[in-house]
Amino acid sequence: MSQGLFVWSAIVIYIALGIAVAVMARRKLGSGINDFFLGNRQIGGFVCALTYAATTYSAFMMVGLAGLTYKLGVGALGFELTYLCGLVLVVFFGPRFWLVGRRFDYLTHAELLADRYQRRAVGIVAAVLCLVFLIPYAAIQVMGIGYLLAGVSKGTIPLLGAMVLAILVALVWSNIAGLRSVAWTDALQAVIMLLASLAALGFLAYRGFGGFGNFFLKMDEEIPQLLAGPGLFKFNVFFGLALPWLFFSVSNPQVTQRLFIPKSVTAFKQMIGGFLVFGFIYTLVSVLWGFGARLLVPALDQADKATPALLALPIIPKAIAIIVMVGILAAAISTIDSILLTLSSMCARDIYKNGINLRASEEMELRVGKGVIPILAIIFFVFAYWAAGKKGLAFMIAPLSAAASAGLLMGVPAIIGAFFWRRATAAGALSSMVGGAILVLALQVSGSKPLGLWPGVWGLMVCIALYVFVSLCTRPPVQKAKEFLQYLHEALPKGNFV
Amino acid sequence: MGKLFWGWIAWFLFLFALDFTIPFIGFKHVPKVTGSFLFWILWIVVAIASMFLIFFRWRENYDNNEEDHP
Repeated sequence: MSQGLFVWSAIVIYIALGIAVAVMARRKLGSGINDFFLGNRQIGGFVCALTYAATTYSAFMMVGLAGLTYKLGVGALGFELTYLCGLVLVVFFGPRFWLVGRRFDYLTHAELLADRYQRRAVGIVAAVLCLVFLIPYAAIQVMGIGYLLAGVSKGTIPLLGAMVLAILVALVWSNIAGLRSVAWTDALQAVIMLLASLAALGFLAYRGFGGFGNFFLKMDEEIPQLLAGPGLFKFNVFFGLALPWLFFSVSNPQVTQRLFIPKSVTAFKQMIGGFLVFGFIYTLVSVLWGFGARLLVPALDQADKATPALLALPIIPKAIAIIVMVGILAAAISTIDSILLTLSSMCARDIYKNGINLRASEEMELRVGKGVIPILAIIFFVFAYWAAGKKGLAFMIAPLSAAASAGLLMGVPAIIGAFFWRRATAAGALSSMVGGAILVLALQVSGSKPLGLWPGVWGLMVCIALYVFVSLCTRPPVQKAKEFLQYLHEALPKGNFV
Repeated sequence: MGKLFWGWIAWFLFLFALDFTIPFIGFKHVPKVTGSFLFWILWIVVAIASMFLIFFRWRENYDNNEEDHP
């Protein structure tokens, strides 16, 4: 069987399996917008943990993070583990999101903000912020698939064809049963991602180096420059990349929406615990994969090609290489369909229902949400196609991801303030999001880093200053703040939440 | 928000301070797997264990009147 045919067969099996799972999920689909976008807040802990993992971890890990490790060394491990440690924000904020989500029936975090600050414009701006900055993030998933499939199939599957395939699969899976089909297929994909990457690492270590001991010894001997301190990372690069990722769990709507879905406290605990274990293993595997590539294929022109190059080596059996490829494909598609679904829910609830047509029925709202999904998919594809033609660090997958997260970071002060600061106002939230986002966009487009600090760092400083200053100068929504915070004040101790 | 809340906040701020300083200063001249690589692995194990300690205490009876809510 030729390489191309082998790759295509694996992809067909993977897609068929995913469709079967999505169709099974559809049997549980009820009616209404909450059911379609939140699984009626009744998702079990196991599926929650895996959908959280599959949504968070994407093509970035085995392609982008491995590439970053290949190029800049051990700092990539620190940068990604800083993100994982950022999950402490879910430990603090997750129960708050979950409690108020059930109490006030929120569909998105933008709706939470609009209600808490008592101004619809806050929700609309938060939704637009997510739309603007998640497009590059979703597009890099599509790019990742393009690079990978074209590399592994040795060109049999063209870059363009691979990107079209990814978009179509995400589109179908998110449409079949909304969050239920996305969550169930995510669970399947998370298992594939983890098992495939572990198997590949095993072959890399034992067939490439004769075991993990020798692997580490080779790292010490041949690439010491990538192990000393943070490797080749400069502090400002490390900080600029890590800071937005630290807040990823409360800034990215596809992740915050998952804080609304566990059916119980136990399911919530299982979601966090399961994700932490998954994330630790998957991060370690991805980074070691990058180091392995640096030792075995040291002269690549683009670091993002490290994974395809490694999979093409004879030490990785063809079947394992194909399974890994499917694992990475799964990682990317599970992120794309989650983003598609979350952004469409924001378009339906925060922009259409709360902005354009206040009298829209739930049925109409749901129709708008479903209608937006293919439009977003086309936008993702166009951006990915444009970005895939660029070269250099600025268009590497990791910095593109961090740039997207830097923009989403501008919603964080308003989100944190909503839970803790009675005095916070809608004007403060609006000015911080708009001011911060404009600054981040301007710095990213111009490519400037004043004093060596990255756009996200500057944006966050300005954003916090605006949020505090403008809030202090304007009138807070006293009644809502009291109701919102009083409810949490009473509910949190009962559940022993911190 | 009681002492426990602020205690955990202080602990995690301390962990983040280590994350952003130790590899850049302490392991700058240690070009081995046993340097920053091992540090970050041990660091995250401590952080994950701390998070488990926090959420293991959570209970189901967060809202005695849950049936009243949507």
